[in-house]
Amino acid sequence: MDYGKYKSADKNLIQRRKINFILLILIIVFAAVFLKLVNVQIIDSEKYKIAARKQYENKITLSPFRGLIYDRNMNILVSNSYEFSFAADPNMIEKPEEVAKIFSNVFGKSAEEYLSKLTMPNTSFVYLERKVDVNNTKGLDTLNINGVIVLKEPKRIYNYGSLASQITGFTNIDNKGQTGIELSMESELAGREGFVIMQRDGRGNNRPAIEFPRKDPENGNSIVLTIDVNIQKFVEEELRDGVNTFNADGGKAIVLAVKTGEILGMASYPSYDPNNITINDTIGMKNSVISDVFEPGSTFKLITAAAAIEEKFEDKNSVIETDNISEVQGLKITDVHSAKSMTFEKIVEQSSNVGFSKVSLKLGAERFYKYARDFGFGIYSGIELPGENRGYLKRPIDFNSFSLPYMSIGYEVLVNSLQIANAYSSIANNGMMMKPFIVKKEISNDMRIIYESKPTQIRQVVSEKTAKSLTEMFQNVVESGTGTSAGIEGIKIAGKTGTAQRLVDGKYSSNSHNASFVGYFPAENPGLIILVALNNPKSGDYYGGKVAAPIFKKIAERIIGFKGTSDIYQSTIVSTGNFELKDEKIITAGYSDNSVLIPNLLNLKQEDAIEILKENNIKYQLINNEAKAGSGNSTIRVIESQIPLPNERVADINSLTVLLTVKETIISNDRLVAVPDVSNLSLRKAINILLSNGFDFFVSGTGKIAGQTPPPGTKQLPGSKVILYCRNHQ
Amino acid sequence: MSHKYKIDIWILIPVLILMIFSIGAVYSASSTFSHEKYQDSNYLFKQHGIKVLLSIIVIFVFAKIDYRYLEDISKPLIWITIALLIFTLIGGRGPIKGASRWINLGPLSFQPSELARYSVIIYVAVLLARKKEYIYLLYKGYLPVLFYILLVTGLILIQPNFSVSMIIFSTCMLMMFLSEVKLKHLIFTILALIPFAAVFVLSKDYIIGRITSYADYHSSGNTSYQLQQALIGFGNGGLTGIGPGNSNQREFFLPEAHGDFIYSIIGEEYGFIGTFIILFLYFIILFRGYKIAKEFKDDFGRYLAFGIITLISLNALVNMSVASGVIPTTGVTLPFVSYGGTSIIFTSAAIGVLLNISSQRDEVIEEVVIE
Repeated sequence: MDYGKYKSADKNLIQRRKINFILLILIIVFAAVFLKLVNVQIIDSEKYKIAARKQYENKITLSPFRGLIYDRNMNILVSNSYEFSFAADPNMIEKPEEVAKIFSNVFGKSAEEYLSKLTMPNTSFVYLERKVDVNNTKGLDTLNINGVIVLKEPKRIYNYGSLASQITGFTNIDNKGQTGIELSMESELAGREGFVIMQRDGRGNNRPAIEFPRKDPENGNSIVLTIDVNIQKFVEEELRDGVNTFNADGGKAIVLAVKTGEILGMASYPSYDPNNITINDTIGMKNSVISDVFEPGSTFKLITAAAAIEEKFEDKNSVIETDNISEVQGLKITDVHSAKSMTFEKIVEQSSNVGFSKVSLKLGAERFYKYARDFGFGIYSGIELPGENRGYLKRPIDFNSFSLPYMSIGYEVLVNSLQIANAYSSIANNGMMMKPFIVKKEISNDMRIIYESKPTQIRQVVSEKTAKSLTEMFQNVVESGTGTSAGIEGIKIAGKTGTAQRLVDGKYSSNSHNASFVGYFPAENPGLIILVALNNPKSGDYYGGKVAAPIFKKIAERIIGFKGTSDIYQSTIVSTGNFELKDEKIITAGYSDNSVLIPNLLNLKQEDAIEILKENNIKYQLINNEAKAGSGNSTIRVIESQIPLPNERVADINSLTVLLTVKETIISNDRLVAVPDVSNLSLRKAINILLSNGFDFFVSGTGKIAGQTPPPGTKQLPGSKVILYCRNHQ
Repeated sequence: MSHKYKIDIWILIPVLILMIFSIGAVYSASSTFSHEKYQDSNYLFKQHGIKVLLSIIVIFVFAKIDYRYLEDISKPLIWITIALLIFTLIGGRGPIKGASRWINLGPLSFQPSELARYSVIIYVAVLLARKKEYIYLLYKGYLPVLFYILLVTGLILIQPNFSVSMIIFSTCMLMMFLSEVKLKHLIFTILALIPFAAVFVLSKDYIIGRITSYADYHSSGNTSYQLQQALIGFGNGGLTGIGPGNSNQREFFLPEAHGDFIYSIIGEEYGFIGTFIILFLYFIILFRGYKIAKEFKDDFGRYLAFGIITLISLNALVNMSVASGVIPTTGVTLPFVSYGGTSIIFTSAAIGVLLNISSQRDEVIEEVVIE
């Protein structure tokens, strides 16, 4: 083919066709791109969107603050602090020798120990030190060593050391409750973890993203206990002294508010310090008041006495023959006294085994069992603490011929101390049994009440009349019977002693006893009931009346003498008593008008944090971390840490200075967003606007927005806080 | 003879739309990179904005200049180009991205290959028009033209810039195909060059790598990081996109987001609607350009118009095909849209020339009548 021979017109036609041919090929390429785009952007779009989200988003868990535990007067028993753990990625460590030296200097261990960890092969994470107290890091947490990972972990602070430690319990290394309230109220205290979806760039750096979901952590609710730290202190101190004085293996004591069932104090000895747990603490951790069961001995005579009066088998003047050695159904029962016969009143007063066992036979097994049940034996009290042992109450069908007389004097039955205390409490409360409780309130961070316990009546165990007449008899026990050492001048106390031989190697031992005393006062209108029990006192005396009653007396005296509490049950006691008031050192001031709840300032801009503190009239001091220089960027100063921690209630605002550690953060200008103007809007509307613009907020006051910090139009980092000042317009 | 300035607005408007669009696209795609590299997220945007303004001026200036003047300067231009290409090989600006492609003239730094692609097209058009009576002859007609083509594309190839070299070579081959060059000459040339091309490709690991990665993607779905990120950009954009300026892929996920892979960022922010509009604008330019070439009577003008449009269209198609994974990855910018330094100015000059050609569609016929 020779194009040169064609005429011009033909040539143009051929060229036109050639161009069309090339155009066609190029259109095919266009079509290929088009189809590919349809495929990627429309048909398979979802697949790529998922891949995109996966690589852009980085979910970071935000830890909540664990709720606090307060006593009834809002003294903080348990609060929060931080601990630091140091770990290393050996692959990232550049100069292991130097790093080892630094750690060795700070923690005093040998540098070789750290060096071996720092040079560990085939791992990218090895702990160097765990759980270092905030005060002991010596600034190591602020050093930016390549490859050293600093983990800030929350830690519980038990402000009163061992005081009430068996009640509060403690948390494990993951800050989860292990015993006590920490365990039983775990779900309330723990709060909910939040998260923030950070936007991640191609190099793995995180950026906060306003359009991405963020869920703030829900801080745990706080628990207010019925415990009074002062009463708890008396109980623990006197119990400890008593155990030591009478050389006992251990002891337990409990103080109940008769009319409500509130537990005001509860302790067993030995105890432990939850701030400093050692392997020897396993016994001390146990709340023996509810978890130890024992044969109660004489205190259990309550059942027989109450049933006999209620069922009108006896009145206080009925006479019962009481040989000091007497066979009851072929069972030899002994008494320490020598009277041939006694009135029922005397039997109670003198705690006659013979007398009670004879009366129990009149009652019969079924009736006895019914009353024992009604008094709460063999069943859980329902206390909000873990580890309650409900003991063992034999059913009549399982009784042998000795069971009834034995049980009537407190053997062949297992009870815990709370059950005994609450059984007597129902007599003190005119026969009405209350449900014992220790959690008074559940409150949110802003002190709103989430849940409040109400005193709960369980059942009328005996009539008011029976209860009154029993109280009279128990008064005699203290006035002239076995419990005279419990007597306090000027106040009528009703009580009952208990002394039980302990089973040692399967036999009742004549030289190992459980000695107890339970008493309540004022007898005319009982407010408090106190139980004290000692295990195996070895000082010579072992009768409940000799060893437990004096401890009861000391606790009672200190409670009665204590001034400064406002609790209704205690104030009635104080006013009834006719006492020379002793000065008790009050452990901490209560929840007074000067107290202040520490605001959460963490990660706020310095100016905002100061503004909040000023608004609340809180003094502060700033501690600056080393500033990093940045060029072409603005830097902001944000609060890195604060002491005291957020949400703590500090007793006296005047003696408070909040320490703030400030760090400088570099931000690039183009991420800044102008703060919207929300003045004169309703709070709701203002918050909506701020949130939709990516800002966080802090509200001060109520009503309409009167002002805002920072002012409208100021450039701020998305996610930073805007403080809203609200005023009520009349 | 009333000279009516009547350029083809169906080429001008798509080009202007692309340029204006590119300002936004480059701004979004380059901000993170700019901030990181120059501590000013607007740095590349400003650079690009200035070049776009300059380019628009260049378009109108060249549209005013009679394209026939190019015939006079075509020979010196091709030799200057060759000299510059040699200069970059021996002593130009240091290697950037493993290739020595730049001439350092301070603010006027440019890649001689940008100039080369147009100077070779102009000269080939000149030669094809001048030799039209004997172009079918091998020694007198065909080989001298092929000599220049191979010299220039060869120099670009050894920079190395395989893709640009291939695009220029393909454009020139198509221009010769359009002229009265014998088809068998072209076929023999290509057959003879295949072994050379094969040797070249096999000697360059990066080309092999890209091809195997491309083959792997089509067989197993695994793909190079860059292509994977480009596809995530397109796919995440979906039909309507995630909105102007909202690109996530520019946050160091997609390398060269403002350059060779800007099409993916457009796909991400403007969705399929955006990518389709871009695709369609290039199609209009191609269609109108070829229409001018088909109807143009002057041989030089016709070959030139055809060459310019073919070159620009191949560039655009290769870029879009690479970004969307239709062909293996290779570094070609998206004409008028990519941030690519001086390339937009040269391309605009070429569009100006094309517009000038379009404005003389009727005049050439008039001239014939007057003669």
